[in-house]
Amino acid sequence: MAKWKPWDQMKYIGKDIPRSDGRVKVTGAATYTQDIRLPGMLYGMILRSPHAHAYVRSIDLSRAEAHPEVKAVLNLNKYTVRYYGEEVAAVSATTPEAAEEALDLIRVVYQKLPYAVTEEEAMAENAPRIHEEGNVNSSESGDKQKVEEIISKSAYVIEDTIRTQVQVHNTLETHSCVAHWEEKDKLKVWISTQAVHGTRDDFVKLFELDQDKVETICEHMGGGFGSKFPIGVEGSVAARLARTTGKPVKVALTRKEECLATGNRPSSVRKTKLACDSKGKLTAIMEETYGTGGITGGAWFPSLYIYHVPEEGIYRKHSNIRINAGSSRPQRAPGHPQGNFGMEILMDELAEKAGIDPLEFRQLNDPNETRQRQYKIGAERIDWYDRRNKVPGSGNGPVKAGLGISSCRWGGGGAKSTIVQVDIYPDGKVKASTGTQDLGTGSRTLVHLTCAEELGVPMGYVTPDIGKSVLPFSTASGGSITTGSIVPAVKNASDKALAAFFETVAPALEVNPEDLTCEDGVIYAKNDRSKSIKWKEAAALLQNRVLSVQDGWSEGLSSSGVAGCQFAEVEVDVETGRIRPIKIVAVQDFGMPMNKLTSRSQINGGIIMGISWALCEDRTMDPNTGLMVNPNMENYKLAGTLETPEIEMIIDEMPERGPIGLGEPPRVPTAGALANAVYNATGARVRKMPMTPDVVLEALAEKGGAR
Amino acid sequence: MSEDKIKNSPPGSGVTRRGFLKGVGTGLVGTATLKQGLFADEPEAGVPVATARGKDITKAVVSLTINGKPYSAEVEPRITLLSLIRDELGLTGTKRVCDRGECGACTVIMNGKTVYSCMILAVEAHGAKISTVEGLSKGDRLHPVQEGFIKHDGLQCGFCTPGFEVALKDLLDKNPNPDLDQIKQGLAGNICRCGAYPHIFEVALELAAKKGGR
Repeated sequence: MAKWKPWDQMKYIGKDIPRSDGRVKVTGAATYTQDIRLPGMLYGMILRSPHAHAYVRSIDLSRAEAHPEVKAVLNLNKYTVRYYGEEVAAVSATTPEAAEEALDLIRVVYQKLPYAVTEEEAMAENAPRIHEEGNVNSSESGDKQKVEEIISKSAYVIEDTIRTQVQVHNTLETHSCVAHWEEKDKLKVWISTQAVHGTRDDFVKLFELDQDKVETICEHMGGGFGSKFPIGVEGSVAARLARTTGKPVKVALTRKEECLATGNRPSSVRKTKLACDSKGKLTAIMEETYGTGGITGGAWFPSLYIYHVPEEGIYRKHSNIRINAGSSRPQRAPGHPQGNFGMEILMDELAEKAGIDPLEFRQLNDPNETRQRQYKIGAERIDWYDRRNKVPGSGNGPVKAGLGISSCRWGGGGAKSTIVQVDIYPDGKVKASTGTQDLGTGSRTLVHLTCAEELGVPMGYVTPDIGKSVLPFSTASGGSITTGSIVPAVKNASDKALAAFFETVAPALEVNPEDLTCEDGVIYAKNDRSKSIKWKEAAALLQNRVLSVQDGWSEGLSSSGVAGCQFAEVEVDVETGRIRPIKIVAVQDFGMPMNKLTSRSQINGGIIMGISWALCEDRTMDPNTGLMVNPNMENYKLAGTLETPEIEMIIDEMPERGPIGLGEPPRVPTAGALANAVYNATGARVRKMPMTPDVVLEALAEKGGAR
Repeated sequence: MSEDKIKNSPPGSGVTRRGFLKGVGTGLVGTATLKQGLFADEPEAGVPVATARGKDITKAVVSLTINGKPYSAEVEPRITLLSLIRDELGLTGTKRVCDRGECGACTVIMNGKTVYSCMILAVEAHGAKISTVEGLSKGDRLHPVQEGFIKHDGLQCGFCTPGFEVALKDLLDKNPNPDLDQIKQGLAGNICRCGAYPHIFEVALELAAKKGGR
């Protein structure tokens, strides 16, 4: 079984390596899908429902078709539209402005239908039926009666209702696609995607084409966070309009469309009873939970999160609620932040009732050894025992400080199907290729540095090539599996290429191939350093042959399952209700850190997205109109520089485990830690998000402390 | 139509600040935009909501200097400076993200001042001197801000990066030695969804210690 070389011998792995595409990104030269410009390219735009729920009674495209700059108009043949923003028709025109005009010229007659845009409206007895499959879909697990019994015998019980809101992805590059039919049955597509090969397959299926007749490209993309797996309506529309017109067509969604129709993190509501025995060990959890993933998405989340409750003490009824709003899609650690937020608040509440320090209460109930170690590290860094308010809200003055804690876990892992090709050219240059995509996570850099590490050459010798479906297969980037997928495959392909290269080089040095090694671009015999040759000279021995090998993923070079915890320090102004995050201490395991520089970026990013969700973001649906009222970046608030606290991170490295993906776990615990810190600062319990000043003031009033 | 009126328009009515801006740019269709806004919720009433405006528009010649090079383009008066830079002239480093002055991704320097290029009409930039991300480096030599972004990994997906770099360059030009609070304030008009802020602060603080890299 393949193994990593010793950790202390790594030259690039585990160091701070600037990203391979840094230069093109900082100069503006990186070509994103939205930057593609082709001769004769048309602009596609989509007409969307202005209503939350309606029948499409008729649609008249003729005036749009008559527009001189319009090249094609597409009726998407909707009979019913079920949310504000659902696609109805599409146009392509010579300029974006003409396309926008053409949308205004399409006449649609709608018959409005009753709608529900909040969970409570959709669940109500007399709610309008908004979907054939009904509004509410419930499932149940556990023995309710038995759990009731356990709770009644438990020493301490708390009961609470906790809510999290819908979060839209708001990737900076909106969902975008440029489709170009190079021949009648040959399609080339630039697409902002988390799945270069997956979208290739979507187009193959949609147009019933041969696999080798579709090429998808995503060299750079402006963020995905889970929303960019399928080709989407925008992808199919671009390709259909391009086919009809015989011209390349670009569809780049507007910010408004992005907010309405390209996915979101579902809401969550949990009504929970949590119980423990006299020593603080959890005994039971009884819950009714629900949430909405919009019109078709689910809203399940892991509600019993991190902490151990014996199996017989668990009861849960969960309902997915449909509402007339855009469907959910996976979003960075799907379900986990929702599970975390409620669970961490409940743990704090129960700890207080049982008279136990909230940190100790977690240590008592968390079976994970890694986190047990991390709790100690984090507590020391935030100075938990000295600086936490023993009596919540006991600080002086209107601006009160407090500390809170919260934890995370994630799976990760790797995809067996990943293939990497390594080419050694006679001029000594090396190419490492795989069809993976770089969402901004630094995957291109990982391909680059892993290949250089394994070959023993300077990174400048290696060019990573990714983001194209013509390259060897790579899996979609979701679930934090990209690192665990590509890194082992790059290592294996590089090792195999090096072994094959040594076959060519060994006779020239009069040694056996297996006696050779390569370090800093010099190949030499392990037992006799005088027998050596520079990499580039050795490559010339290939003469006209390019040495190409492919290899795949193998077991044992990466693993799965990570642990982390975060401590938050906040200041809360009890006169204004404003929360100011002061500091986050994050302790995070992700096995073998491949690139500490980009890993720190990931952890920062997870925390800031958590802060943004906790304090700012809220998809707001108006029950009076059925519309989302903030499909933009002004009234849908996103955390900026002013919301960014000091972040201290501790990479809890375990190189012996091999690399594990990091994209999702640091996103999970921040909101829970903030909520608990707010309680510690003020003594007021915030039970819903976003924790905006009005919500905080309401909590303070409930406590009786508002001024 | 006053600014207040625009702000008070019902949500989803179709009147956006930018749509209005573009409407004003055409000079002809201010009322059409208003009408569309008021009646958009009842198109079934048979009210023609708009007509092809493009055919009525006389194009204007805009001449300007971008990164020291002269450019001239014949544009519809309704297009923004961002559209001119990106779509007409092909300088795609400047990104379109919100397209209504909320995120800073399209930040350029116009006549010595940072502006959101999505909020400026192309015709307003006639005769202007513009700097974009493409103008930061001199040949192969990166600007210290760019070097800092690479070194400290002040980016992830990179889509906000050009706007942040331009904003930071301008900040340092005006205040070569900002402290962390001034950096946060100076960059508060730019949004990064990947959360690169802490690393961007590192870039700025390092350059501040070197007096703006000069």
